[in-house]
Amino acid sequence: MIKENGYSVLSLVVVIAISSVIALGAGMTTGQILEQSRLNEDYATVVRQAQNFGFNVSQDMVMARTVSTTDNIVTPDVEFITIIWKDWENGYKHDVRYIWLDSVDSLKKVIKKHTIYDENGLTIDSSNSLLADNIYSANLTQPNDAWRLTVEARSGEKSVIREYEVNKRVD
Amino acid sequence: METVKRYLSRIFKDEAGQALPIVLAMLTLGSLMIVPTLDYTATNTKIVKMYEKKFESYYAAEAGIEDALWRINAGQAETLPYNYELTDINGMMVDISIEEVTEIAGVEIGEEGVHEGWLKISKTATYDDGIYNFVLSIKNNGGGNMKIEKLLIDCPTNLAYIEGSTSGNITFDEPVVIGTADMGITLHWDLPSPFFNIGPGATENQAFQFAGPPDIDAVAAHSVVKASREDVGTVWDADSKPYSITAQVTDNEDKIITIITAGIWKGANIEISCWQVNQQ
Repeated sequence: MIKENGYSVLSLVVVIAISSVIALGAGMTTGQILEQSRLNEDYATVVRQAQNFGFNVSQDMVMARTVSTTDNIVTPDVEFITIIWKDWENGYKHDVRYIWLDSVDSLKKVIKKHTIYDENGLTIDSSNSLLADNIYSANLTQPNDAWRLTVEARSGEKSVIREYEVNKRVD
Repeated sequence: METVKRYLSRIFKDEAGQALPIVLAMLTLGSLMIVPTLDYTATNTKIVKMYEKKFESYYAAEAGIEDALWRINAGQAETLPYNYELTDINGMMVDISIEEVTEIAGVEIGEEGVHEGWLKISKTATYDDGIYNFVLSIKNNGGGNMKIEKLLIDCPTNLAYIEGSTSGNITFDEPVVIGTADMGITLHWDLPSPFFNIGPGATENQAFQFAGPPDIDAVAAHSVVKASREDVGTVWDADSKPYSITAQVTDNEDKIITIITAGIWKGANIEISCWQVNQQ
């Protein structure tokens, strides 16, 4: 065995080269993990937002007596879905409006405004809730007897399109 | 170069015992990363399951309502309230209650079955250039004089009452209009005393008008009449019978997930007039 006095330049160069390869690999792997994690988070965000929006509209649609998909120019809000139903026993009117916020942006917030009026037309309850803030587009159409809601949510590089077919239950 | 060598040899000598702190440091880092990662994954899984459960429970409640509609149509729910349960619909329990309706649009309509059939109600509706001419006919099918106290008409959506259009022997008074056309109005005549009398076997008409688009089945409006007879007192009758059905879904932990309440009219057909999901 040769007695070693410290490290030769060659051994140092080898160590540095191997370390660099390992560091590069580790760095790339970490980068990939972080990137994948970000994409996963974006995907989870868009799915959750589209799902939440779709669930709310589907649930309200089955209760609807009348449905409008145009903006009511009388109000300052930008409504894109208005659903009205009544509780037949007490005569209360439920007015649910889905409203775009920041509607000039490519991604929009959706607010659900639910107002309840008594039989004399007086407001007895009102609530606003933020349903989603990554919605790119949402369309409610009636191609046949059933209504179809198509919603597209986007976050980062991810986007998801969900379609819901809903039947009104009230005659 | 000698200085670098000395420096490195100082670092790399006495390596014994360095493995433990390195492994501990790596374990700490790993632990810090694994907890939020698992938590994030678990949260997403929980949210997806929650939505799945909500949808499944909604469909279970809807199945319960459909079952109740079938039982009403088959004449099984004769004595009200009629309560029963369906087990294992989507793995959940559905409690169903069919009840009589004693109030429409905040107006009392009395309990069903009080001398049912003593009044006969029929309707006609003709459309002409944006106006529906509606005629309500009430026949006293009993053996004594009948005094008309109250009329209630529950209308389909998009019909608007035309003011001043009420005419007929029973009253020329204007009705109270409850609600708006987009939710379906209800007309209510609370007639003053002395009440209009219909003799045994006689039929009286009451007419009024609606404005609305041409494609509405205006005759589908439902009518309820309250009258009184000297010998038997109050008589309620309707051209179709209202029911309220509630389907309540509970999971295997006995937690209520979805409640659907449906209001229906049963005449020649069953018509759903109200459908409410998880209303407080």
